[in-house]
Amino acid sequence: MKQLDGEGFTVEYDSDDGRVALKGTMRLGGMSEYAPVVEILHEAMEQHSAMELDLAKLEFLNSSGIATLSKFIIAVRDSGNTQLTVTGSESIPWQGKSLNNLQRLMPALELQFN
Amino acid sequence: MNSEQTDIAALQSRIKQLEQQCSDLEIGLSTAIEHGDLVQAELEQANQRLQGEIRERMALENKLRVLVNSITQKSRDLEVILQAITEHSDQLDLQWLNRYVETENAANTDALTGLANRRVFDQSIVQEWARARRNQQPLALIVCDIDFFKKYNDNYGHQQGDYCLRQVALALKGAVQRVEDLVARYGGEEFIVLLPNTDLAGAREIAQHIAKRLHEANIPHEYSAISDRVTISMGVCAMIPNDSDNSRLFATADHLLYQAKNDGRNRIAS
Repeated sequence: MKQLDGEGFTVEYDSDDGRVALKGTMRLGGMSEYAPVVEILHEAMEQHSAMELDLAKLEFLNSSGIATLSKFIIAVRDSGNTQLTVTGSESIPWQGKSLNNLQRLMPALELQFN
Repeated sequence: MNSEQTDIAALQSRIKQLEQQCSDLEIGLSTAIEHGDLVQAELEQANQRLQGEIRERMALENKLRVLVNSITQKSRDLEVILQAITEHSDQLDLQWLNRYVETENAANTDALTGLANRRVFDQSIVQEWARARRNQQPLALIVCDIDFFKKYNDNYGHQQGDYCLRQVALALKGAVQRVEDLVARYGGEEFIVLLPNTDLAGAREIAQHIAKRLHEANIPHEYSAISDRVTISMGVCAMIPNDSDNSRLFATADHLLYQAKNDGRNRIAS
């Protein structure tokens, strides 16, 4: 288990089952500050043929964050050899529309809501 | 003999002529063949060059097609990302706005009764006093206090006490009609009703209406020294402001409330 702790948020990477969980409130300044998060996401993508991005406990994500996730989804799609599941929560207002938009970038992405 | 010689000479001349023609033709033929070979070689070279060009162009076309496809995909991705970011931002705006409205409501509302709180009253009295002064209209205030509420609470418990406060709030709310009238919980078991453009007679009428409604609500209070149900005392006053000191209004109504209490409670002093 690899963990990245920031102000108000945590990123957990379970390398055994290829699951990356983003939790809390992510409001980093600009996409450059998301680089350490992107690094973990790419590590998971490179090490697993199927990975899960768990956002069910991500209460808040700013616009730079959604742009970062969008770019990552495109990278997974273009690599063509990783199956991606994104888990969201119906009780978090921003996730409905935004996660569906992520799926538009990668139609093969499996989207599930808790 | 002469005739034969003439024929031979003619024939010989003809042979020479034919030999010359034959030689000319051979030269022409070989020239044509050589020329044809040259043309063919040139054509072959041109053909090879053209085929090379075609291959190059097709390769270039394929490269362009790949590039166009890649640019089209990137453009589509960017459109989706733009939409994702825009919609995401809208959602966040909405979330913040809702939180702002909730906070604003929480800051202005008494959580127990749902009435406006003292903060709203403190702001309103300043505004209404200034407005009444400007328009030279009366501003009325009713200060209410539940009679024997401590005994009620001590005997029935705090939960029942909360219920009683909510019932009194309902009676107050039900007695005022106009949107500009303000009913607020001032604190504890004390409530206020601020009535813009209302004279003392009008305010007394509202106070009587409140008392009537509370009587009809019939909240039992067997520990009250004066009634079988919950009652309230009220101090009522109205003023046409002539200065900026609004504290007189509350002080007067509060003093009248004290008088109503001293006079035996469950009454209106004005």
